[in-house]
Order: sequence, then C-alpha cells, then structure tokens
Amino acid sequence: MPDDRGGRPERERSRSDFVSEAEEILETLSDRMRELERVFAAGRPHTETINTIFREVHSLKGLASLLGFPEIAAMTHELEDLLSRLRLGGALEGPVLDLLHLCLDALLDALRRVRTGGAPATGLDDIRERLRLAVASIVVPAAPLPPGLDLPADLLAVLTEFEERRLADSHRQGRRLSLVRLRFEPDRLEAQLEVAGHKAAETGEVIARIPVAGEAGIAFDFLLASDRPLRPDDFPAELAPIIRSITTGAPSGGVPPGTDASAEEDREDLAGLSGSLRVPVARLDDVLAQVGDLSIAVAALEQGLREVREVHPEDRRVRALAPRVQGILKRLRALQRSTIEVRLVPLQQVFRRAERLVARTARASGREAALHALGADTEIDKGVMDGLAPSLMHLVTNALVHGIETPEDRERAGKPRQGRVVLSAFRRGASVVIDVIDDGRGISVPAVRAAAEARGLLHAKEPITLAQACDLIFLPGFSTETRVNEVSGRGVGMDVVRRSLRRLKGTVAVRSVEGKGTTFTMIVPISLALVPALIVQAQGRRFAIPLGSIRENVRLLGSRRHREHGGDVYDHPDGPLRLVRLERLLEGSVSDSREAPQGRFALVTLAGGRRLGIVVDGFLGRQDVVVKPVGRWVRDVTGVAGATDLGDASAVLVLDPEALVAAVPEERPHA
Amino acid sequence: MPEAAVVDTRPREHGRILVFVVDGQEYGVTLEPIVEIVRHRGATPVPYADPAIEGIVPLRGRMVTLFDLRRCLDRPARPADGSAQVVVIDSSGDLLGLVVDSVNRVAVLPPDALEPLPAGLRHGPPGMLGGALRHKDGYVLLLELEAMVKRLS
Repeated sequence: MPDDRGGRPERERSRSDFVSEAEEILETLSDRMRELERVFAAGRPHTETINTIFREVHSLKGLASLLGFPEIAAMTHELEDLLSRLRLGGALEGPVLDLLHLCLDALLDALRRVRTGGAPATGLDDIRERLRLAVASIVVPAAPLPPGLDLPADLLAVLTEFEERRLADSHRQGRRLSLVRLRFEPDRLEAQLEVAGHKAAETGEVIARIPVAGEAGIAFDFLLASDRPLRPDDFPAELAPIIRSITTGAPSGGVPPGTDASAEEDREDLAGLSGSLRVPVARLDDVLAQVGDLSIAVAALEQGLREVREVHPEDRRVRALAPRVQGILKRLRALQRSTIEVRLVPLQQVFRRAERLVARTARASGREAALHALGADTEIDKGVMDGLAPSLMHLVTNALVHGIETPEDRERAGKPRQGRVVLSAFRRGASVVIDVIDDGRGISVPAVRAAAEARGLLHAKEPITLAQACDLIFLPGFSTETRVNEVSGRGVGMDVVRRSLRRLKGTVAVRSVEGKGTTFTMIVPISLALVPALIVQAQGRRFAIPLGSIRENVRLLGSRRHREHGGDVYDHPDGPLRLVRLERLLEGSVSDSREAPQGRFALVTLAGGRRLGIVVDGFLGRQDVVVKPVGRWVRDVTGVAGATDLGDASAVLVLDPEALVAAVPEERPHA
Repeated sequence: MPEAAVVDTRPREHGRILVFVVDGQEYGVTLEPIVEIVRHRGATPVPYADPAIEGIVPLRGRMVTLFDLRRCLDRPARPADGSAQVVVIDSSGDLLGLVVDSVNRVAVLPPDALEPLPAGLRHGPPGMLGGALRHKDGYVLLLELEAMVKRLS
C-alpha cells in the first residue's frame, strides 16, 4: 500500500529523532535524581532541584506528544502533576522519592523499547495509577505568607498557589518585594509587554503579572522580588513605571546563614553537573556589540597615537605607548573572536529538520527520495542559521518537487527509483558553504527560455546559455505563475531565497546538468557580527566588500584588456570577462564609454550565472568588519549591505556586489 | 538593540524646542527626540539615496543618516567653506542627523503662541512646517519632523 510505504520511513525518522532527544533528557533526569537524593539525604530544601526535574519532564512530555508516543506522553503528564505538588511545597518523603525512581526506570525501559522497535511498554498504566494516588495523598500546605504583608487584598486574592509560594520564599530569603505598575499602549501591547518582561527579569524574579482593572488604557502590576531596591529607570520610561516597595510586619531576611550557604552550594552542584549554560542570544549580542565598539575606539586611539608620534618622533614615553595599545587591540580581537564563537551552533539542527521535510514532501509529491547529510557538525552563528533555515528548506522542497522525477520517470531514464538529495556543509575560511544537491532532471534551458519569454523577461527567440538560464530563475516574477513553474522545473520564489541570502551577506548560485541533477550552493559568513571583507579603493573612497561574494581578485594586465561592443573586456583564463568600474556600478550603469585607466584590479563576482569584473583602484587589505545597520532611509538602497567604521570615525559602505550587478540593466555584448 | 521609544515629534505647547539656523532663517524642532548635537565633519555618500540625504556618519558604534536641511527646505546649498552642525535625532530606533548651519538656543513654546505660517516666508515643500513662533523681529518656523522623515523613507 502506497501509504504504508511512505509512512514507515517517516515513523522511522520520528522514532530516531525522539530517541536521540529523549535520551538526552533522561540522562539529565538521572543526574537530577541523584542530586535530589543528595539534597533529600542532607535534609536541604529541594525546590530548586524539583524545579529542574519538572522542566525536564515537561520537555519530555512535549516531545513525546509531538512525535507520537502517547503512552509516554500520558505517563509524563501524571508525573508532572506529582512534581508540581512538590514544587508547591508538598513534603518529599521516601515513598515519593521511590516512586520518582520507578518512573525514571519505566521511562528508560520505554525508550529502550522504542529504540529497538519492540512492543510498547506495558507497565506504564500501573505507574500512572500509583502517580495519581501519590498526587492525592500529598498535602500542599497553605503558603505561609509573611504576616502584615502590605499588599492590596484584591491582588492577594488573585495570586495562584504557586505564586504565593514564590512570594513567601522570596520574602524568607530576604529579597525585596516591589509592586511595579506599568502602562501599555494597546496597539503595541505585545512588544511592550515583552520588553517589560525582559526588564523585570533583569532586575529580579517576576512572581506575578496581574492586569489592573479600572485604569485608563492598559496597565499591569508586576510583583517582583529583587536583591536591590528598584528604580524607575529600570523600566522603559514610556511605560510610566510606578514603583511601590512592599513592607511586611515581620523583619525579612530571616534565613539562618547555614541554610543560605547550602542553597549556594546547590547551585554550584547543578552548574557543575550540566557544564553548560543557556543564555538569551540578545545578551550575547550586547556583549559582542560592546566589544566591537571597544575595538573601534582602541583603533582610533592607535591612530591618534601614530599622529602624536609623527610630531614627537623622539619622545620615549610616546614610543613606549605604541606596543601597549597594540597589545590591547590584539587582546580585544581575541575577545571578539571568542565572543563570536559562543554563538556558534552546529548545522545539525536544520539538517535534521530538512530530513523530516524530505520524508514528508516525498510522500506528498509521490517521489521516493533519501536525504544524505554531510558536515552536519559544521558550526555557524545561531542568527545566521535561523536566517538560513527557510531558504534551505525551500531549496530542499524544490529539489524534491521540481528536481527529483517520479519513480517511474526515473526508471525510464535509467536511474534508481529512489532519488538522492545531498546536504553538504563545510567551512571555508570565515564562511560556510552549503550545497543542496539532487540527482533529478536538472534545469532545462529551453523550458526556462520559454518561461522567461512568456514572462516578458527575454526577447522572442533570443538564445540563452545554461549559465544565463541559471541566473534567470532567480529573477523576481519568474515564479509567480504555477504553470510556468511546472514547465520550467525550478524557481518557486527563488528570488526570495536570493534576497534572504543577501541579507545574511551571503550568496546563492546554481549549477545544473540537464538530466543529471542540480546543485544549489549557498555561501554565508560564519557570523554576521564580523564579516571577512576586502577593503578596496575607488575614486578616492573606500568600500568594504564581503569576501563571500568575491570569486577571485585579478591584477589587470593592460595587454589583456580590449574594447568590445562599447565595453571593456578582459582576456581571462576562464573566458572573456566583462569589466566595469565600481564607481560606474554605483551610478547605476555598466556601460562605459570612456577608456578605463590601466593598472587596476578587478574583483570577479558572479551574480547567478553572470560573471563580471568590478574594477577598483587598489586593495587596501583584508579585514574582518563589524557590519552596522544603516538607517531605514538608506537601508533598502541597492548594493549597500550596511556600513562599518574602520576606526577613523568615518563610515565605510559595505557593498553587496551581487545586488549592484543585478541592479544595472543587462547589456548584451552582441548588439 | 533596545526597544525604540516612540516619541511624539510634533511641537507641543509648553514644550521646549531647539532653535537653529538654516540659510539665515530660524527653525525649531521639539527637544524630546534629540540625542545630541555634533559638529559636521563630512559624510559618506550613499548611492541611489534620496538627494536630500547627504550620507552616513558613525556615532559611537551606530550609523547616523544625515539629512541636508537646506535641500529639504529648498534652500540654496551651503557655501563650500560654511561650517555646519548636526542635530542627531532618534526616529523610531534609527538615528537621523539634521544638518543645520548653526544651533542657536533652546526656547519654550508658550501656550497659544503657535501661529499659522506667515505669507512671504519660503516654506519649502508642503507639510514640512507645522507653524510659526514670533521671536523678536522674525519667526521661528517649526519643523514637522514626522512628515519630513516619512517623505524620505
């Protein structure tokens, strides 16, 4: 049965996904259980450990229900109930601890069965029953709220059990309690709430967030526990924060020093166990931006020092300063590199998603296909990966829908019924190269030509090369009509792929052999924070051009240059290379009636299939640049990817040569 | 980057305004969104940008887009040797810099002091000015920043 045939590999995949992730969770759970044993034996507070166990169990539950393991999902659900009773202060006693161990063993067993494809575990129902009994027997004591708590009664009334407990705990730990009222604009509520949440979390622990009735507009009260008094400027001024610190009848901070120390120890144990730390990406961005700015500031200092040295070449003190500043700069660069590395993640994550996508899409489109991933451990910046993922999924879908033929067609063409899609990634310098390769029907030049003609992108009967066909599929509008897509074979929103790659300071190109297959190659910088670039000079101005968009640098020999059809052409080993001066590109034209001066350099860039040599006056060096966004008034200007400050307090444009070339009208040499 | 505060950039009564000179005429903008005032030291031109955009300059790790106010207000170009100052303004998270001849003072906008634009004064493109404030023998013309910025983006 066709359904069955497609269904099995899918189930296989979700099974292996589940096993690998669940194994990780259960490993952590085992560690936490041992930790809980120690805490229990020492008679120390167990809330922290129970919290981490709760979170792990919660993840497992989500995973199990997502990937279709209802027995495990149901059992973890009951386990969650028990754990939340314990979180609320329910007594942790021997029998309960035993039951937790029993649950862990049962989960390990269930996972083993999933892995080996054995029958589903049978004991889970029995354990669920025992969990239900235990939940019923655990008495959660009323939260011992501090006496004389100066909180509005209506607020106290809406606090949940858990929130009350946290309130009481925070007070017991001697933290300051505050009630912060913030006002929000209705149409920006979501964004503002998020900001408020972040700010609140920075200052301390958010115990509760309660909407305030009867206020003009929308207001929320944030009940916060913090280690220091809160100030209005802890929150964005636009939220008009009103801070009320909450006092109690009893002196706070009644924690015996011993208890405090052991809690501290707990935290250290936990950190030691996992050896890793989750940090919001935005926080890393801040650090990175500051390190970058610091480097620029020190570079400016170095420049200033150089100027002073020119005036006082003999001054010993001035001379002694130079190596110090150099040393600081060197260390800052190292710091910058390590900060960037913190953000790197393996491509594994998106490759796994692509694998699931292939299974699903193949079934939906009546194809047989397998995905092979190479270099999944290649590391890349988290932000770049997130930006890249949609394009990668798009290319993988296209490979299946437009590339791989139906099994019958493949047999007729003498190919194996099952098509292959290969994802390959490797690092090249400061860039990552990702190939999406299929062994499908390839790009058909006549079909693309016909489609382009139908869209008015080409003159009738105009012959095109394969390279030009490959470029055409990236044009916006090429893909708006489904019928055209089906005929041409490729091109569903390829312009979108190209645009999003460009946003990542990367490129996408395609090679294809008709009947044999197609390869899409994406090249992106490993990190957007620091883009490797070439600093060039043209007409006395400096520009930075990301290395990823340059194929080759050529020192132009006068004897190999000649005029052809009103343009400069260079006799390049790979074939004639059209030359255009950078400043002409920036003016929006590739035509050049004037004879270009001699003795320059050319950056060979490839916009889709179109090779072009961009002529500049000189190379000023290779440098990793921090690309800053430019204001929205110049953001969407063609060919400008951003700007950078090389340390001399002037802005240098970071160019996107591919966009520059694409922006100028194509002029065919054979006029 | 921190969430950008939305600031009402229209001049308000009782509000304070920064008064500067462009080609001999005094103009004012409301004080709230102004980040700082720096000396104009040239800018990096951006290809394909609006002619009123002079270019970009770095300011403490961020990029400021410079608007030539003379150009925005249809005034003659600044003489080649003329010095200028840049009023840096936060506009929904992006920094824009108004290039002016010189910054004069901060003034208070008293209630009911705002008058319609006097005839005879050159106003530039419609919608750029939100009213006039009498000052000594002349007028301070109030810029509608929001309208100006919108026209360019």
